[in-house]
Amino acid sequence: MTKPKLATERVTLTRTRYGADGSPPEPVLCDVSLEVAAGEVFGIIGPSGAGKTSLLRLLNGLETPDRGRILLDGEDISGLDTIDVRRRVGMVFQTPALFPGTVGENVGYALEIADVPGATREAKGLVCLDRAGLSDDFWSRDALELSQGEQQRVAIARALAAEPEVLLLDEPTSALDPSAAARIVDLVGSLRRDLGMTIVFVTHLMEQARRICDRALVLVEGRGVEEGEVAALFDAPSSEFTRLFIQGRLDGGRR
Amino acid sequence: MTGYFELSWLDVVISLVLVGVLLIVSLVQRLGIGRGVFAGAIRTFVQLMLIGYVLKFVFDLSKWYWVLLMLAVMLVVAARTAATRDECRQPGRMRIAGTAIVAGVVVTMVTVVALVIRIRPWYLPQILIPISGMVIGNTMNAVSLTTSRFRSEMGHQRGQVEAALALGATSTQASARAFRQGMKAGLVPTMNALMVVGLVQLPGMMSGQIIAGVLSVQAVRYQIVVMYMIACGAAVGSLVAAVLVRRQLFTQRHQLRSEYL
Ligand SMILES: Nc1ncnc2c1ncn2[C@@H]1O[C@H](COP(=O)(O)OP(=O)(O)O)[C@@H](O)[C@H]1O
Ligand SMILES: [Mg+2]
Repeated sequence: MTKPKLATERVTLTRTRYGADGSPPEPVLCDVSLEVAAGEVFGIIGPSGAGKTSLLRLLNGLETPDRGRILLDGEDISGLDTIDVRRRVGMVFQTPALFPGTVGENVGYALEIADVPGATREAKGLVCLDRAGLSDDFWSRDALELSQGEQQRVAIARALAAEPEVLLLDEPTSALDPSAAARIVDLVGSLRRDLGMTIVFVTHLMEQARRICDRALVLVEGRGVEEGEVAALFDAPSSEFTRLFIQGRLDGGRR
Repeated sequence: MTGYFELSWLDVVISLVLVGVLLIVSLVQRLGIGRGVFAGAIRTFVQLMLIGYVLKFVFDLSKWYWVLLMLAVMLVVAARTAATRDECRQPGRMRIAGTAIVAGVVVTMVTVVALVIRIRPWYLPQILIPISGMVIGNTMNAVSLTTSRFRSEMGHQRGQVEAALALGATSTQASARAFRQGMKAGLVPTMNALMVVGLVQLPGMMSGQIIAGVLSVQAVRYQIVVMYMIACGAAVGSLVAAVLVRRQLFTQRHQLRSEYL
């Protein structure tokens, strides 16, 4: 592979678990390495609790690994300005986390954060909506009254405001019904095709990973067990875990 | 002018009947605060007796270091009270409450002593202590309301705060709404006090003189100044508290430290 767009080198993250007062910090991620090529859709797959969300948070700079490096275009992000990294690496959360107010205010806020001058915000915002598959009519609608699928699109439009080079999507379909989920999956494909974006797509659904990812990392209990072309992962899994997982026998569970 | 009705110690003891009402209500309703009622009644008695002697001592000596020591004790108690009301159990809340209260009180008192009341010597205890006490008490309330509301809003809005951070917002931008809500919650009681002062409750400085039968235009003027002082103390205290809590809640790299929520 030529120089990866985004990579991690043996990152480790430890933290105290929720509600576990006084217990020692436990590793959430352990020596995870991955390489995402420019313009590809890279999957992170694994059961819930595997550390997928935590890994995305590291890539966006919301948390800092205890050990290991994260490289953006070959540069260690710990030496870069965090705000700058987050503009270049956008993130969409599992739940849309919209701000109270209209869709326009949500996207407008993101444009303001990205230093887009007030006069051009609406025009640019409508472009972001369009890219996320929402018509102009949505601009003045109350964001929190939209359907889950529409809210997730607004979250994507908001993340597109800073014109990121990489977009991290954390199980964007997990709260959606199958048809809304399928449309989000199509949208991800078009972002890559039309905008040439590099996309990291987290999912615990094998079908989804197979449909849209070029390559993927299988994450289990905080460790990367396998990384490679999706087709190869599915056809000839090299680890026992991956084999069971793709057969759906381990979906959502723990070993 | 009517006479001054003196209270004897016996009168004070008889007034315990009133606390008895509280005790009965709490027992009948099984509120489980019986011991608190006893402790409260005794503490009121002992604390006010003691403070009477302490004040008399400080007034008689009229030495700047005794006045400052007294103010320091008041500030420590206020900081501790504000800190224990802050539900976050993390270290640093005493430092935050203390710094915010001291900032609010010092800014207010220095301004007033320099520009308004101009007492000489500057530490004249008969004036400095009661006025500082009112400013400290009110600033303490503003600080504790600000910190607890700011923290709880940050907890509720955590997803939105992190969404804003992920978009490239600074910690100041991402927490702006909760910050404003915290400060507003801290300042509303003071705003209300400015609105209704004199209409519902007569402020202490005037009540004392009314009871002593010597209400003067001076007391009214003092009271007006004190009201403006508590407004200033609350504003500075609330702002400093919110800034310090925000600094505690984020790392240098604009990451939310959720363990401090
Ligand atoms: N904020 C947090 N504080 C402490 N522990 C957490 C936190 N978030 C997640 N965890 C723990 O870290 C592990 C990985 O979680 P996560 O990254 O959310 O996994 P996934 O997204 O794959 O379901 C889980 O065991 C989870 O309980
Ligand atoms: Mg997750």
